[in-house]
Amino acid sequence: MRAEWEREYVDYATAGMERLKRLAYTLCGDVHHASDLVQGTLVRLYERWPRVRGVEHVDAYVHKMLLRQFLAERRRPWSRIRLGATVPETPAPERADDDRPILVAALRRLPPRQRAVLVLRFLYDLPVGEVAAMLGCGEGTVKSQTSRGLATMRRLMDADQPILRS
Amino acid sequence: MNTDEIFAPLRERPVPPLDVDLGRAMATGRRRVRVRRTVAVAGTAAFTTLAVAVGVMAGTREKPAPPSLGAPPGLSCRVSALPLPPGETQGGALAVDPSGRYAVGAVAGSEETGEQGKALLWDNGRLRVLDVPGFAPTPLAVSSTGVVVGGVTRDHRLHAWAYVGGKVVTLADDGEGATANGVNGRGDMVGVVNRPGDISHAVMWPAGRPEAVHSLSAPGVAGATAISEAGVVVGFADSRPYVWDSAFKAGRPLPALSGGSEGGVLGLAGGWVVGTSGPGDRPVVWNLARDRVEPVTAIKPAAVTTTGTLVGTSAAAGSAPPYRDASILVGGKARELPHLTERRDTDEAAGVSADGRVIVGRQATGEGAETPLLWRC
Repeated sequence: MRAEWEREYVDYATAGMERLKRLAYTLCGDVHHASDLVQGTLVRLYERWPRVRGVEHVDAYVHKMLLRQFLAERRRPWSRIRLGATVPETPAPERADDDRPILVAALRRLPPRQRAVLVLRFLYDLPVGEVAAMLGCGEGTVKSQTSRGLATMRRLMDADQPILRS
Repeated sequence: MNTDEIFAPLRERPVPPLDVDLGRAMATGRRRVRVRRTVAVAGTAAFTTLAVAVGVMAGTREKPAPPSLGAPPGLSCRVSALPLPPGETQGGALAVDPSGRYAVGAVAGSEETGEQGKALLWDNGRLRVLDVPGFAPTPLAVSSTGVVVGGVTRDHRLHAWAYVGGKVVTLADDGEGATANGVNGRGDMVGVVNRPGDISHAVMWPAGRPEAVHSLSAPGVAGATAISEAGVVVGFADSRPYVWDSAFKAGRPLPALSGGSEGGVLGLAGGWVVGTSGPGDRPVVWNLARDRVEPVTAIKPAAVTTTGTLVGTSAAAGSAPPYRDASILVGGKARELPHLTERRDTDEAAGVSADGRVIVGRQATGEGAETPLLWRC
């Protein structure tokens, strides 16, 4: 790869690293699995950088690479350990009314594709069409997955909140 | 509650440190590009390129390593590559049965390329591709009688399946998705079922009855990861590592490291269980007889023998290839297992027989090849 392209790659990857880590960790909720997802995406991005650097929406392209790797659900020993379990949080000062543990637990209970749809639409504020393109499915599928995922989230949070807050 | 209210708190959620290295990614990427370029200039017609590709890949591989390479003193192991289906260059072994006769693994499915993936069973090293319909069929355990269990995505949901008596059967799940994670020599299978409301349950499918799902008694969200020859089941419940002395009795949480009770379980053999405990997923091993938990720092364990010997990968990633090595914990010290080739990105051990004499795993090279491995010690 040309030296200037490689510099571009380093600049892009360095600037986008935290975003990638956040997306990976939000999707899978597991430190080891998220590390594999981000590392694998960075390798593939390097291989394709001469082509990718010219596309209009590089972020969308890179997020799509990571998402598809996540959805392929390659099950390794360290990625099945937390199947269905809640996510460990790093020790951090938490507000007394912190909703995050409940939210994270609810999100983790969704099937991977529903989880990806909700994360992209409501944490990354992407429109339905863009989410459909990233996941390689129709807009109708994104809408129905959104609706089912939200209904489940609400039901789980309603069920959990009184218990966890009492 | 609107969507903003639901998701706003997650935007500020802290992300723990991940094991990601840009330099390592670039080094791997460079090698892959180099191999592709060599192949591309060697021929123009597709069939010519393919033929040359095979030649170049073979040429870039090191000769098979001598048996002693990396073998720890006092522990003599030989490594060999398990065969992959014709035309496949990427696959890994994921588990081995307690006797060491059977190993299982997979060729990964890819949403990007449309490759469906393949479930693989090796009987004394002889390959059989299991006919599991669906995307990314993944065997997760195999018994000493050759019963294989796993998961597959089909019709937009996960299905648990088993390979019994030469046939693949779908395990009933009375819910919205299931995965079978463990099986013992009796043929009892354990796993996870998602019931309506997406609450997951730890379940057992009794031997010979794939249509019967029995839920294990557990609080909160739960799942079963493995079942021992004696019928002890391990998994998680209410975010904590959990053990059931029998699938038909109430379980209990496994002891936790100080700092947090959360965690999960990877597997068990005899009275030993391997998994994680506390914030940051610290690797641990439990001794069930003593009801004790010990942190494991020398390696990142994946499986355990009936005498408590652990196998896995080196604890920390190196800054240059090989980044991680398949390792065994002997006398409290990490020892590298022998390597198939000197040039590799990583090799890892994923499963071990009950007596520790057979270990399975995989090797990945920067050129994109992934090879299933078997060590005999």
